[in-house]
Amino acid sequence: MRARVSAGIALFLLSAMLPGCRQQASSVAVIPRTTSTLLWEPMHMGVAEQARGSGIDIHWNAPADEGDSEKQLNLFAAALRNSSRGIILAPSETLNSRSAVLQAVSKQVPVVIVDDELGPPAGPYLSYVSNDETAGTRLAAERVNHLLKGHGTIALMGISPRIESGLTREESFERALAAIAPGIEIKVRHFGDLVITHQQQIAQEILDGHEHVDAIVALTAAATRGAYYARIATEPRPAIAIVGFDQDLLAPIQLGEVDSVIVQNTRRIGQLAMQNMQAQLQGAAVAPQTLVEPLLMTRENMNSEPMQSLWPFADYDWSHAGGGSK
Amino acid sequence: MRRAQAIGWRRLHAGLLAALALLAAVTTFAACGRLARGNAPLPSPSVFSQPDAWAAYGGDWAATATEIHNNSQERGAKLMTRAGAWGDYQVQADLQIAEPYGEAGLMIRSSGEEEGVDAYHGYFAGIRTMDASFEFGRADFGWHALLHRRLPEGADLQRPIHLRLAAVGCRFAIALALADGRVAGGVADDPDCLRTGRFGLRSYLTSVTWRNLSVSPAGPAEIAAIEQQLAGSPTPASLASSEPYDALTLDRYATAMRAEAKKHAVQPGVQPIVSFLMQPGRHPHVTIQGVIISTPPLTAIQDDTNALIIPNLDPHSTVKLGDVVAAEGTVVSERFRSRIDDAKIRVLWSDTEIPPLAVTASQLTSGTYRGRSIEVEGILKSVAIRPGDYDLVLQDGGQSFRALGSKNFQIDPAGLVVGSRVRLRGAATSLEQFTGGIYPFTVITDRVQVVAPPPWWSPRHIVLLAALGIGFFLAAQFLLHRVQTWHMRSVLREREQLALEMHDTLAQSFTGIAFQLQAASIERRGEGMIQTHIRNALEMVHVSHREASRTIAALRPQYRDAAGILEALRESAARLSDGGTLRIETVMNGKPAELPLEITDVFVRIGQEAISNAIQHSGCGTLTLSLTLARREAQLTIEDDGKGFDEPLTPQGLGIAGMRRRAAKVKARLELRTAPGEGTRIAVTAQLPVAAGLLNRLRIKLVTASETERAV
Repeated sequence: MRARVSAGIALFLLSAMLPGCRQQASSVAVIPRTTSTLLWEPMHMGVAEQARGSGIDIHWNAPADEGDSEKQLNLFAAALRNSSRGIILAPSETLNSRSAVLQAVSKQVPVVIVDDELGPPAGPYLSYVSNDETAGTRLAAERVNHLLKGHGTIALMGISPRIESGLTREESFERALAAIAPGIEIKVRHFGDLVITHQQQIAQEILDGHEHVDAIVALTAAATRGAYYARIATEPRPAIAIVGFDQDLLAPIQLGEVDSVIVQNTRRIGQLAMQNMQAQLQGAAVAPQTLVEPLLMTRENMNSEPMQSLWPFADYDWSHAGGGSK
Repeated sequence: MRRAQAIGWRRLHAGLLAALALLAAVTTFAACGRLARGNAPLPSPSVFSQPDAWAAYGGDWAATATEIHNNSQERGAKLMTRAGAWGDYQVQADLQIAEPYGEAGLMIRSSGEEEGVDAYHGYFAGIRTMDASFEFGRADFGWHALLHRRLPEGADLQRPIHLRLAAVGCRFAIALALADGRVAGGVADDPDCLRTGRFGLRSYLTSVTWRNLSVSPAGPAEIAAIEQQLAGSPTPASLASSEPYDALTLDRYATAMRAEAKKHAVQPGVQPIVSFLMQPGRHPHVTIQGVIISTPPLTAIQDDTNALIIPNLDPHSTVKLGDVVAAEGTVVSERFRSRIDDAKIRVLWSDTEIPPLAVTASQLTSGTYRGRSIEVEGILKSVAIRPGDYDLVLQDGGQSFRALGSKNFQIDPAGLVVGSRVRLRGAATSLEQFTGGIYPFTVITDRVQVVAPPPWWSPRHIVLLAALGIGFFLAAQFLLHRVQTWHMRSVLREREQLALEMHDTLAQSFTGIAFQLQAASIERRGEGMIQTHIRNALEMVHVSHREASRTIAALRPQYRDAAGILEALRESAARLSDGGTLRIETVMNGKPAELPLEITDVFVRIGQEAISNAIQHSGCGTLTLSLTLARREAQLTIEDDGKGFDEPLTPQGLGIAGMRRRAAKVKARLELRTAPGEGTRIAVTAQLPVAAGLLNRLRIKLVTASETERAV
């Protein structure tokens, strides 16, 4: 009898010790396109705010290089391997993320796709939270119309063929511009990647090109930075307006080198994505697609409350938000 | 004496239990790597040049005895010490930051690192060239700034800056000494601080050199020393962590970004490589712009159109993979030998990786992709690892080829096992100085990745498997032998038991019968006495018959089933009371189940004995036989409403002693309840073994299922 009790206690002790080796079994993985940027850190804060107090740890990480979809998929696979409770993903590339996401869904791991239209329809394990591209491109078209007073030519750069939402953004902008400012013509269109130096070269070609344009509309953060770099690297400084998309650097707006940027409210997107995740984890129904209205940031309104509400992430205490293996 | 012994056993038992718990704890924590990395002494600078001492998380790292470089402009590249979870210590180094728009510094008390910008739990103090400031804070996969201050006006960020970072308790001190002698820094507290961790180097958007890196223990004295060092200097202005910037900061940003932008501007007069390759011969005074896809011993440059070798590159050149360079020189276009001679190389910017083309060895042999950035796979045939480089031979299909490369922080030589399938990235060449005239081409690699380990059917594994198989076979034979021996012993034990039974019953009865018959044959006292002897002999024959029947009945296997036991006992009672008015009742409580053989035997024997006694001696009218099956025990009860007896006064000749003996054999409990005029109740209760119970239940389920199947 005593031997049985001893064996029982020993087995209990051993089994009690073993879970100490496991890591992050109960966290939700959040994988944006990259981290530590003005575009993605507000989402980090939004996700953390929503998760706080709910007992859900978040594992936040992404490739250092925004376009590195291979590393992003490795992180996605690692999250599945580590039995993450769910995954929030902003795909770097639409097409090559499909299989991974469908695999997770087939394993009944809830997935929330942020800022992309992946393709597979939403369901109990898949939902979408996105920036409202129609609203954003309308803001951009109105701004261009305001800057050019209804007449002129523009170049469109940073059309991202790798992300479905990038193409949607381009099509939507063309429609909005045609409706709002029929007197403004798009003279140049350029596809673009996420490498800033490439975008700078493209912008420089636009500035040096034969087609005169009055403004550049840059559809990604990399294209916006590239256009800005091309502008400040050129002497004499060309008088061309730059309207960008997706927040990156604030100094160029403050300096007036970039006229305005259509800012994604990624903090709200993060909150809604985690809200969806919490519901999906409990088996509750969620909206198939939730759109979040972007904001127009100019030199004049960059100190306003809606804008400033995006940036407190630098003062946020992340030590209780989970993330990584401690 | 017994009490002392018991206490001794208890102590031993407790000691063993404690030892087991300790062993479990140590094993678990050691397995989780928590003890392994703690309490190690702080390393001396002599180990910093050894790649084994570090783990790289991104970046392109190289080390000498006095310097560590990161040649990459990756965001958040980290180089961490592999071991160590130190508490109070300080790290210091001289930093030279190359880019105008970057940041670099030192990490302390870090753990849980992954590739990614802020992917660690720990502290970082860094110098930012983009706004001429320094920053200290904590990362938990998100950055939380604890201190962000402007560097002194006019700080020359092109020259080395000495950075010292100390952690004592939850207080952190940062001191920067500029090349012109001015100092800056600060002290920060993190009340809920991380108390232990590794140290490391980190850079952001810039290549950096760390010189004179050192680490040493720290205490309050070191913090005080830093505070004293800073006391004489004006406290630099704090910078808000959120935008917008003040005018001075904005100006610094603008300057840094302008420098960055000018660096990346397109160079004038650049021509595509392919325009020269289509025209064999020499093309002097050419400028091409492309990405370095391979470094010495074979330097190659590739643009959007094709690739060229850059021979005789200055060995002190600092070009690295991913650098975008402008090369000015003479392009020589030859079959498989196109190159740019006397090239003047100017690095424009870095970290522009060209995605490699995935090709096969036979495609490379054809020459189409030679010189381009490629990825090729092969089976590793031989591995030669030297102090600074490695030399591999691989096979893909029918093609054998060679791979050469420099050892760096990314390559783990232990993973390069012959027979593995590996993927190489680099540039292929057919120059004889690399192929030695043996191989069709050699890949100058910058990355070796093991795709799959050697297959399990390697000769070593087959021998191991065969040895294991033989081991299993021998073990099975041994077990079989043991089972057979055990079975034989059981049979012999049973036979011995049977022999004893027969000796105690039949043999003695036969002796008695023989005695009575012999007495009858020699009886001279008259016919009456002869008849008495013959009656006695006949009685003994009846008794012997009953005993033999009981023995045979007990050996019959169908009685293992609980219902079968009751039925057998009922039949036995009916046989014994043949022609009488005895009412026999059987009661089954609980689910019928099979009982272990030895318990069945005891129940049948005790039951028959009790029935026999009841019928022969009690004069009962009703005999109740009941069998109760619980989860852990089984109980057989034989109860009669006969005359009973006074137990203490009755000699044990009624077989009660035998029943007790049988019960004791299976550790069963026998209870007798009787009194004159109140009948007799005999109950035998046996404990059922747990495993047997489970197995029996399983067996019954299987049997039931199979019977149902048969019925269908």
